[in-house]
Amino acid sequence: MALLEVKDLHARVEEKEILRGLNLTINPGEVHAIMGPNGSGKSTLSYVLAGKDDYEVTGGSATLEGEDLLELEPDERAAKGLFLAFQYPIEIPGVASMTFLRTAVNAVRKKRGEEELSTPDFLRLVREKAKELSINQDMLKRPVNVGFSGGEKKRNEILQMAMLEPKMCVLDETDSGLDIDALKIVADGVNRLRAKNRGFLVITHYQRLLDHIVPDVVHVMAKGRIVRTGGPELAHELEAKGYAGYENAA
Amino acid sequence: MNAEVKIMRTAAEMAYTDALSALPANEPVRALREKALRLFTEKGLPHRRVEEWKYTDLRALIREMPPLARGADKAAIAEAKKSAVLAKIGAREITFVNGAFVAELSDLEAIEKGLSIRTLGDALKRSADVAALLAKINPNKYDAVFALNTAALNEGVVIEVAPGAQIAKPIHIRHVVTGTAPVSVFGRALVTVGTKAQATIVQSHTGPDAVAYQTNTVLQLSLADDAELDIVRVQAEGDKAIHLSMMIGAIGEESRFRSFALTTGAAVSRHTVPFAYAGKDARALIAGATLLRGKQHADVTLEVDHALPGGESRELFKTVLDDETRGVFQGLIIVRPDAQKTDGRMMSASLLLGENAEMDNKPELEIFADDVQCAHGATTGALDDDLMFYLRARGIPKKEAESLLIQSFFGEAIETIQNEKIQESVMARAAKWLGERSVK
Amino acid sequence: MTKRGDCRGNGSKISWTQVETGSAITWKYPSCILRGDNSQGEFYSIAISNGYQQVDSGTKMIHLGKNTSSRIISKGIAAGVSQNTYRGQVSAHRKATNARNFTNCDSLLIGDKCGAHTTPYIEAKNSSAVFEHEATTSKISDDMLFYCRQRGLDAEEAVALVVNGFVKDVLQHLPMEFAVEAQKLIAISLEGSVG
Ligand SMILES: Nc1ncnc2c1ncn2[C@@H]1O[C@H](COP(=O)(O)OP(=O)(O)O)[C@@H](O)[C@H]1O
Ligand SMILES: [Mg+2]
Repeated sequence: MALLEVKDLHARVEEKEILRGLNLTINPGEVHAIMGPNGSGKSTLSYVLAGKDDYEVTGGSATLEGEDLLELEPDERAAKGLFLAFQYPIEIPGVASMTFLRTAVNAVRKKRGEEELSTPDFLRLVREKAKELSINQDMLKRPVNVGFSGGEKKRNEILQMAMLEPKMCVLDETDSGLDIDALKIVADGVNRLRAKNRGFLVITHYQRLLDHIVPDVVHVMAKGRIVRTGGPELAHELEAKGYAGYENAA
Repeated sequence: MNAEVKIMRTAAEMAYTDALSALPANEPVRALREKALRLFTEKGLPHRRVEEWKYTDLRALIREMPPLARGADKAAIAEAKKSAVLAKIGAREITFVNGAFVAELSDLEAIEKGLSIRTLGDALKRSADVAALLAKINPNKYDAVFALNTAALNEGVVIEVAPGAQIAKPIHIRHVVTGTAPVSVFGRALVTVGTKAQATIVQSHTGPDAVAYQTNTVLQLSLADDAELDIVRVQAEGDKAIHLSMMIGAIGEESRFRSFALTTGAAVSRHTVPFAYAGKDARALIAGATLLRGKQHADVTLEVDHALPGGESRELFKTVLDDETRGVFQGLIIVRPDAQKTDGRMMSASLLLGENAEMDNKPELEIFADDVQCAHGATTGALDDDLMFYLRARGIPKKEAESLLIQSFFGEAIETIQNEKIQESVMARAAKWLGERSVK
Repeated sequence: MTKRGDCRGNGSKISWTQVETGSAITWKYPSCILRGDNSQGEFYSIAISNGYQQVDSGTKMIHLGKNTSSRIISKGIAAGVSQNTYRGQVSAHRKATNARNFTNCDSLLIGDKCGAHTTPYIEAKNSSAVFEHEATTSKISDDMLFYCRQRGLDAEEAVALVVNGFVKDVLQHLPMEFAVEAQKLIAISLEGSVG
């Protein structure tokens, strides 16, 4: 069975139709990339999958392991295993990153019918994953994303992803604003999580991230639809030719 | 507390009632006046136990009422002619001397298309709407200043800007008091700006030093949808005067309103601004600089009322307090349940220069809608020692160093004036105030 | 209820911390009279109103001695159809040279039927006084809530977490065991605040 299956999805924001019949199937273990010009609806797709208010689905379906996603609350989707690394991670003043992680991990485990992690187990796990992402303890004591640099925010997203053990990871422009070293750290973090039962949807504007996270399938999105699908070579073609030919393709 | 004390009316209160009830009838506004006088006679002057007047106890500050001014004779007009204020801003001037309209000091020639300027008496005779507007634009609750002004309603000016008219030349309403004997002077101005129309109004208040006269002026404003209005007010009354004033406004959908008030005059002054958002997505800026010395007492009280969605308000007030002065800033932002997406920011900053100066700030937020961004700030402090030291270490003498810092402090508020000439003129007046400052 | 603290000795310090979750109608105004030279007053307050509650909180900092300082951190949270009011008075008297006050007064609104009111009285009768006051009122951020929910927190947990962050500056002045209690109290008081 497909891990994520999106069929003829239509969605709008403030009366404006943004997704206009989008189809996408991701099987367990696959890494898909979506590329496309700014404004083509990539972030909208990620928000619709995660269940953000104000994004109204007007047609079509989206399922995770055969189960209807669109009926679920955002936190239920998270518990089912959908993770979204935000293009613009949100700052939460006053809430330490560590507290946030712990609350999230336990909330998700509870919904999955798993036991809460004991404090020592939790701490050990965070330390290990944080270290892999070059996140120091000091950063974990600071409020979530407040005063973090662009790179720190993106690494923090990947840390949360690692801790929550999702099945389907959606990464929205996780490469934007990263220098080459940070990009490597983030890509390595993602690659470590690649597994045969886990799927990835990597949204990016540039091919550069895909040199590090090599996708199985590359899609081109324009005006709210997938307009072309190919292998990794498609990303290189786009890098060379740009999106010019796709702006009007849809 | 003694119940008898409460109902006892002060000499000033009784004098007001007597003087105002003896005024000749003015038929179109007779009922309005009578009602206002009845209210005043019943409620009187506010004292410090009335929350809005907590810091400006009018009952204690106004001991007596000087006789009503008798209008302007030749000598008064000659004196008024000499007292030029904001003379270089290229404005069309409308002058009131001791409350009376003076045609020879007013420029009503070649009035722009779409602009109408009439005396209140003239306007009342010709259109019933004017009387209705005078009654309609009110502070929504009893206010002694407004009640007195209404009870005395007689002279004033009505300025109407027709829909679509763009009036580039500022209109300057001058209120001049003359002579050496104390008088009581009332004035009223009504300004309406039509849809998509635009205008700039300047209002100035001047009078002789060492004379304990009293002035009470009310400015009523009405902005239609998409209208734009700038108001600049200069209060430079004589040093013994009591100046009471009110600016009441209602602004329509997507209208833009800006106002600035420079206060340097009067022994006691109170400027009240009840301001209502009558249409959605309207924007208003209410700013001012108050510069006080000696024993002056100046009170600025704002009430910004957002009743409809999408409004934006900015309030910026700077108060400089020298010697033994007292400054009061009360600012209330109300956001009613329907006023979602309101964005309100109010700031009152005060600089205490005199050792015995006092500043009382009461910034208030009253919020009933949830999707809003509102903030207020209030700061009180002296000149920054480190900055002073830095300037003096660079060889700048004490007085200049202080002036520089004070000027940059109030400058921020003056810079909100859009019209460059007016801004320059106001800045020059403020700079003159600084120049006259003696350094301890 | 009204409490009053009097800092008589030189260099003495009073600190109030309160978490007010309100009976139906509450007024709470602990005040500090800073009489002794160099004395300090602090007031940290969290006031939460929900349902039909009407919570009034605030403080008075009366600066009388020399070199006195005070600090007020007040966090108001209004949910349901409640009204949450802060009233505070800071005053420096004639002889209170070098009085210092910093006030930060923030309100957070949850839902569109509640109200928050902030009425500070700030009275400086001495030119050496330095008073700073800042207040904000804003709606709880939808983006923050969505972010939390994407990470698996349900609607109430998300609100509780964001609110905890909002009141952090005050919570950290509570002894550890109280802070934990306070957090629980906040979660309980906000129950049913999200629909
Ligand atoms: N909250 C919103 N309100 C209004 N328009 C939106 C909103 N979010 C996205 N849009 C519009 O939807 C379109 C797609 O945006 P987005 O999904 O962010 O594109 P991408 O991520 O591909 O750059 C754009 O035209 C954008 O302006
Ligand atoms: Mg995007």
